[in-house]
Amino acid sequence: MDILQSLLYGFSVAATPINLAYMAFGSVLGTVLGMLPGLGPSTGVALFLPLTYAMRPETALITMCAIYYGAMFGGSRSSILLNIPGDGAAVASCFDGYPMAQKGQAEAALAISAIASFIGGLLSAVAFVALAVPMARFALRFGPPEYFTLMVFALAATAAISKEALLKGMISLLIGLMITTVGIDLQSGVQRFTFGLPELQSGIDFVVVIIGVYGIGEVFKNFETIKAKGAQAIQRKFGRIWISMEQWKRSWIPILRQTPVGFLIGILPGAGGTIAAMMAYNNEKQLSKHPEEFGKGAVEGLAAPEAANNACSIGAMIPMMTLGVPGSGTTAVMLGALLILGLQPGPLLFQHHPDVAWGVIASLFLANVVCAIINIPLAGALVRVLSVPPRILYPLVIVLALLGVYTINYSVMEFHILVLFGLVGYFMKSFKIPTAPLILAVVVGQSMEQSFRQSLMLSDGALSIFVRSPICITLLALAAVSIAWPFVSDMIKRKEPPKPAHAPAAPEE
Amino acid sequence: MRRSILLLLALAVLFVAGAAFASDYPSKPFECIAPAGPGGGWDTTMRMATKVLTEEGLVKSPMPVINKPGGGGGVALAYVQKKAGDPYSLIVYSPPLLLINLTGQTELSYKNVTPIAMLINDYGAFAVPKDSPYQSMTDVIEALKKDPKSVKIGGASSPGSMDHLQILQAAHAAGVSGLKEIAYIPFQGGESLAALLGGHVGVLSTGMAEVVGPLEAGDIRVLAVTSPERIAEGPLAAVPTLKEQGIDTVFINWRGIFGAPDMPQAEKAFMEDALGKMVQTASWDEICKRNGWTKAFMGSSDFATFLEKTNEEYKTLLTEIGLYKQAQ
Amino acid sequence: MRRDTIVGLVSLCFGAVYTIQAFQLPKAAIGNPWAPIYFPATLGVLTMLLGLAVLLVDRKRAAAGHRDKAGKAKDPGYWILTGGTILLSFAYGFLFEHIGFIPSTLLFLGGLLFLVNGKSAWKLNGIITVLFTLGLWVVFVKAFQINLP
Repeated sequence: MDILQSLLYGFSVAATPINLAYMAFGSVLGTVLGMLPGLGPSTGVALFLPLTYAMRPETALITMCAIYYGAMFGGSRSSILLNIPGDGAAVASCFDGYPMAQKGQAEAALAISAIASFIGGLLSAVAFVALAVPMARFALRFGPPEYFTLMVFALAATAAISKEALLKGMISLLIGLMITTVGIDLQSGVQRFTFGLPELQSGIDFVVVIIGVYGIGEVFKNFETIKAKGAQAIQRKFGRIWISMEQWKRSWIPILRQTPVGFLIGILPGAGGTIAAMMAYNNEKQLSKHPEEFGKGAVEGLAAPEAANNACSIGAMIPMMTLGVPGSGTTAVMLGALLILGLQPGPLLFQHHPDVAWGVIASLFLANVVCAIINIPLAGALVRVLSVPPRILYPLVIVLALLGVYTINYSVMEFHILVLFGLVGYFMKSFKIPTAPLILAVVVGQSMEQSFRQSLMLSDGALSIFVRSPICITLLALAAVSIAWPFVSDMIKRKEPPKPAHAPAAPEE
Repeated sequence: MRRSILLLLALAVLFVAGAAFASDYPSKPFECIAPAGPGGGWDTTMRMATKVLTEEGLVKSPMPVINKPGGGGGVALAYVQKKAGDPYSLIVYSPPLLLINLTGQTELSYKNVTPIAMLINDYGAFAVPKDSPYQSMTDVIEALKKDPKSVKIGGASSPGSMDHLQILQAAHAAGVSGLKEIAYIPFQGGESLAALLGGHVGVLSTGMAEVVGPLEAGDIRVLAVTSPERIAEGPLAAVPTLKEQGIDTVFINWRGIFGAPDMPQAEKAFMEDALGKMVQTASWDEICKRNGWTKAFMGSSDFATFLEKTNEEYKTLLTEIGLYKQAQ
Repeated sequence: MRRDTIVGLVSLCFGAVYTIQAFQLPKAAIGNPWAPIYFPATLGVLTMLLGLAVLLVDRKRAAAGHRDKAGKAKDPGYWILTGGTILLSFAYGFLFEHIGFIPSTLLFLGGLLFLVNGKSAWKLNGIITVLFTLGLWVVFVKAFQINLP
């Protein structure tokens, strides 16, 4: 078959010793960068950029892809061990990964995260080969109204996830959206809530909010008991980095279910890993037979977002490779690199430079294997972080977090913002306000407002544009269902006697 | 006694350092600032220029590039103010240097940096989906004249920045009234191209480099480029200029290297000379070709005059649509 | 005061302040002048409403006799730790750009360790401070080529 032949050719390009060596280098670099808070794949790819000028294009691109995957693997390490997500895509890995580590299951958590990432990545690479072009065409049907309804769905699903605290969850969501109104408004160019500070003109970076609310917030929370307990290590004995049969049985279906979700979201330019991972988590919690275990160290609650965010990062390559449209910050830098190397990304890349195009696709498979091989033993070393007593660990974490956010804009303004959000995170924990809606709102808020206003400009102000296409209507219906579902499923459980075939239709909003 | 010896010693060191300053410039590492994140136009220009300068031996000191993103370049502009008089700070800028001042985002302007040399020009392009009813720029202008709101124009930057200005300038030159009414819809980065490919906007106003790929693949048509003459090679060679279609205007995305405010004369002359030699090298030619840049060297004093003139032009246009604002 | 009472009141106040601020935002020069204000204003009003709703639900629960579960007891001196960390971070931010990465980080990390780990372990604190700072410097500046002041 034609595709298979091309793919084999791609493997012959990617599997040369020099390319494999660079791939390994990229994977390690990416994993390390992904682990450090504030530094993520786009930093890694950008750092590597100057080195590419003298390289062969396929080698340069393969290395960049390896950095990208490495960072996706690495990002969840610090989520699990320290509750500090390396970047947005790793936030959902905190929800159950960190509780697992606190319960003494850090080894299993690290293992399942690598395994889920590996499977998610591998399946998506297969899907990439089979479906890239039709999927990319489909993604183009997403215009501003479709994006807006997608964001509404994502936020509704995330707010509904904590039905015990639905009201407080909504407040958390609104505060998240408020944070995104800081900065220059893209649609009109006016400054909002910048208080005359040029550093705020480009808005508050969501990575700073994430590290503040989770990382620093967690540190402040632990300060409460650090005098009493802080001198002891969290864990002293370490086992093998692997999972039990029972954990695997619980995880494999969620991994397979959520991989397509991540992949689809990845293909949409601008959506990204955070939405993918959060959606995967929401879905699993809602589908689970024991949702009460979520947030307390349920292994599937970690496996699902991990699979989805890796699937998403591979999906994000599709618009770049097939259309020349960058789907994320990282792929935008890669696109720039392609141009500098004298290659024009887009559909013709496959005709003009099949060695590069297919080499990169083959490297998706190989890099996944390389990352998995590197990550399992690496996790064995990293898990020992837990043997450092918190009284020493937390000061180090604070320094690392501050330094990490500094590199986002090279400005100490980020220090102050970080500490502020550390306090916000602390109080939210103290008052039992869910933090997940805030984080997702911070990530999607700006594009949500912008796509709302773009839509209205396209329709000259008519709200009917938000029901213009089947995609919009489906997404709005899903949003309504996801708010109603927890209550409906409760009702079903209460009624208990022979379960109805279908849930009653959720009321349309 | 001992103290005065120390003092003498210190003075001597200062003196030697001072002397070295004038004759041996540059004698220490530079700080080359890209006022945006890695991978974009500013970053690439700075990295490429410093690469050629050091590789060709025109500048012997190391020239590391640092990124200072934020505020459309405003954060970096505020940063170099602290480096006033320091000949080791270099920064790259393009039209936004003027625009962020004219739209009131910062009170700092092109007068707060020292122009050293303009290096390259880049141009804008107007693209439509392949099945668009518009066959030429004239069609678009006609539609705008009938109803300025009828054409939805997408771009990749906020109102009052380059993508917006270039369509306004074209419409203005073609005699469209109601510039304020034109529906310009800003997107973020690559999303603008996706919106065009999906047919969500009617026309995309953007840079040339962004449209080459999809044009070559036949996914879009490019109606016009904003350069004074046709592009010499590549797929854009078949695209007419605005002037050819009777719209007498040119929009240049110029990029040049600046020094910190009050950069000393001698050091400025040195850098101007080094950059002048750099643009004549074969490796610079190669880089320009690869990135689709037009070589356009302009020395310090010409560049300063050019900036003044361009600033007035932008100001007129922005005043017309009500976006001109004096920073408080 | 009950936990949710505070949450409700804070949301109400914050929402109100934000709404007032939102209405004072600059208007757009082109297009609909109110366009940049709609979204923030909606957020502000919704926050106030939700704050109110939290208060109402909370009153109802209080009437029904619900009580907050008592939180874990905090160590004495907790606020000194948190407050000290915040102050040190501000000082760090100030020093970072003035005296450079290595000296400021030595001071900051040393200070934090003193605060959190205690004075008695000063030897250990010192060793960790120096090693960690140099380690960071090697990783960030040497390996990743990130420019730090």
